[in-house]
Amino acid sequence: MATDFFQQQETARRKTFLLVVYFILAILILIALVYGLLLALSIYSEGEPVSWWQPELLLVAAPGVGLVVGGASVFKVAQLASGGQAVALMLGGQEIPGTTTDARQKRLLNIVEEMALAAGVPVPPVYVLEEPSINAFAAGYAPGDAVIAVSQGSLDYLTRDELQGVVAHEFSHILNGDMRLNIRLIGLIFGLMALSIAGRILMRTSGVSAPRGNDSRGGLVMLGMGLFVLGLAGTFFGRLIMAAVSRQREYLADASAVQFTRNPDGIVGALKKIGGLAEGSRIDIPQAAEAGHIFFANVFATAGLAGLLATHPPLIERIRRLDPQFDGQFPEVRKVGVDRTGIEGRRSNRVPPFAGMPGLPQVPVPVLGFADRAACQVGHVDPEVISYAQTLQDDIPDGLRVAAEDPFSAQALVYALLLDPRADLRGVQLAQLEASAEPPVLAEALRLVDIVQALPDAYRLPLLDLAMPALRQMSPRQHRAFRDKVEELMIADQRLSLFEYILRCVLHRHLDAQYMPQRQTRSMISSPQKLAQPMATVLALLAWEGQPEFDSADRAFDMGMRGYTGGGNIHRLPPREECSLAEFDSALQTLRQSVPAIKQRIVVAVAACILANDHVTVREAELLRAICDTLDSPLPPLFATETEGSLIRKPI
Amino acid sequence: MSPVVITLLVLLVIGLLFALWLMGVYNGLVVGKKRFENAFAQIDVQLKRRYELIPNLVEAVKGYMSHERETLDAVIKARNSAMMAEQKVAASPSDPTAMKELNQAEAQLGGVLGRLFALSEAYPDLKANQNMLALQEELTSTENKVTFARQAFNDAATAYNIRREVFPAVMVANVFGFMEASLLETAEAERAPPKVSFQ
Repeated sequence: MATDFFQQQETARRKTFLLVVYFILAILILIALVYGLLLALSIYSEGEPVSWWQPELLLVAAPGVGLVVGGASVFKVAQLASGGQAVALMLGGQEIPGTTTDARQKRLLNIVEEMALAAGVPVPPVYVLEEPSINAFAAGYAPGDAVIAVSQGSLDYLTRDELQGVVAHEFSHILNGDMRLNIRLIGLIFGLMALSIAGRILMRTSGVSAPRGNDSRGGLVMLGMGLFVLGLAGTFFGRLIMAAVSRQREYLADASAVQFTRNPDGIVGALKKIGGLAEGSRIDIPQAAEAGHIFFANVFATAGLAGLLATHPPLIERIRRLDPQFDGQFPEVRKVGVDRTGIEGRRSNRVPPFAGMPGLPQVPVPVLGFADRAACQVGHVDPEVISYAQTLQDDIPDGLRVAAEDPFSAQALVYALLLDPRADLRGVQLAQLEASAEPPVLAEALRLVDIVQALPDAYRLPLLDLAMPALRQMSPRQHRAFRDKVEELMIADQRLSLFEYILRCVLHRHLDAQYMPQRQTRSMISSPQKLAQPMATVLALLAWEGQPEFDSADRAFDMGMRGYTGGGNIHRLPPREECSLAEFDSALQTLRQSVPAIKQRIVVAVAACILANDHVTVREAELLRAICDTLDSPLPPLFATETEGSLIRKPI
Repeated sequence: MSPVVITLLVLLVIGLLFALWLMGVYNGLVVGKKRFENAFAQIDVQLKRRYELIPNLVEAVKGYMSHERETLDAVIKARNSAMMAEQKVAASPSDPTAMKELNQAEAQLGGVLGRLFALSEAYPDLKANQNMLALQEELTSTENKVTFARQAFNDAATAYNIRREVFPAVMVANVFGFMEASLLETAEAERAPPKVSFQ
């Protein structure tokens, strides 16, 4: 089943629109119901028949319902503004530290790391939910601030392959733009349920401390009861919306999980175990009520009528779609043991290094054909790339991998990446660090610097990806200090190098999202012409970065622009001196606001430009990564594969 | 419709908004608490690592410092009680008594470890021992990680405490039994800042 990332993004956007329509519909129905309730109450209190049409009642009902439901929704969304982490904490998640010594937890962390490296996204923090059932979820606004949470039952009962299937399912949600939709849905559903919660509170409080006069007291209790019942109606609509929006996405995520791992047995095994386990996939915390749709499988009971409102398709149906032979017999479930292979995974043969690694023979590639494929690879994970990610993990020296697991060493690692190999500049940088940093961090950075700089350039960004969960464990104060020091180190030599720029891009995008929640930029620009100028700015720098001579750079630039327009090109390559990183950055920020269909063209253009000379340098690959990252279109690492005896370069 | 009913309804909406606000404060407290408890998990791993290293250290110095039996025993004893205290805190990081015990035990441990290192200065052979050097380096590195994680924990706990103490959240906190988080103090005695050289 081929799934196109950009198509999926578009669908997710349309679903958001649909969601709003459903929501407004639900509010209108609730207003009508509350109106009815008030009418009944006023008939009860006046003791005489009144007219059916009472505008003043509607004047109370409409703003009342709007205020409560809308207020509650806005409120909840604001609470979740800091993204995936807030959701995980709200649902009682406990973060797994990278330094964990628990074999089951380590196994999970490794699976997530492999998958993230293979998808080209920073490694998300991983949480455990203290539940004996088998379930999981992913939450966040964008791939960069996503978190993954897995129940203790999944760790205990699932084999590595099954766990990988579950993680792949969650990655599909991360990559397909489902998460943003899901967080909004949490807000809306909370709003719809607020009436019921409010009704319950009203019944309780008015029973205890009502104003004098039995009439109003009885009225209040009745109103409370009425609201409670109406709130249940709200909850019903909420569930209905959940079901409408999320069921199809679940089938899609299941299919993607098979595609990502090329192993249907994994996810099918996990689904079967849910069926075989007494606890199933139930999550018993009250907060799960408004967040049921973000989970891997149903968190509520699904027997009988409730099945209609289930957030997920029936288990048997999900299994049958992947394994038509399934006989409906669920297996008996036992805890699994975890050995070394379980933790590290089966290592298949070493996978060739990715494009941009030294020593790769240069061969001509049909350029636009390739570039189109690059766009198809966005948001995808391929089993071969997972093996490649494992190779990558193996190749990074142990000392650095361990350092990337702990916040203290991880920040030192970033400093070490930024330290200049030239002695005089490094002296300046160290003097600055010495003035502002704690001595232990400095010592750690100096300890790491030689290992870091011996590492081939192509490993620098993956290393940063690996360090991301640890960096995200810093407190806001620590993050501020860290951010300042990173800036200082970068400008120590009075100019920003390309790598420094890329590193800053990645760090800011993925750490600021957590520490300084900002308004999410919306994808609005849908006219390709409007973005032609920023596109040209981005391609110009890219073209100059790939080749120093004007002729070949101009050719690369032209290829890129043609890739973007899908036809001719009227823009000319500006001279090298006119291409600054500052302009590149602001152009990139503009491009970021485009709709998915345009983003697709941007990725094609960028890939075409880079491949114009049939040769991908590390700097180009890193730039490509930074661009795709900024566009929230995660691109798997490019690497070379052998086909029919000759090497061609293709993104897997 | 009578004015009484209208007043009631207005009161009702205010009541509902109040209920929402209450839930918001409550959830905020839950998330804040969860956040510092999570931060403790980070320290937990490093403290455990340190407790594992200490017996190795004692084993390594035993041959050289046979006259310092008492100090060595004190180190092991302090390490054991710190480990016990740590387990209690790990079980519930928001328990102030457990945290107090851990702070005391850690200060104790820091003190005897400092004494051990001071004494080891008198044994040149020991100072040159590769095993000892490696252990010392690992202990220092673990100690640095603990310090950093402790900062993060204390920041999260302080943020939670501030959130808890402002009026009117403090009323919600008291009603629902959100206790003040206690901070994890540094055991100053044990740590002379590591020397850094830029050569």
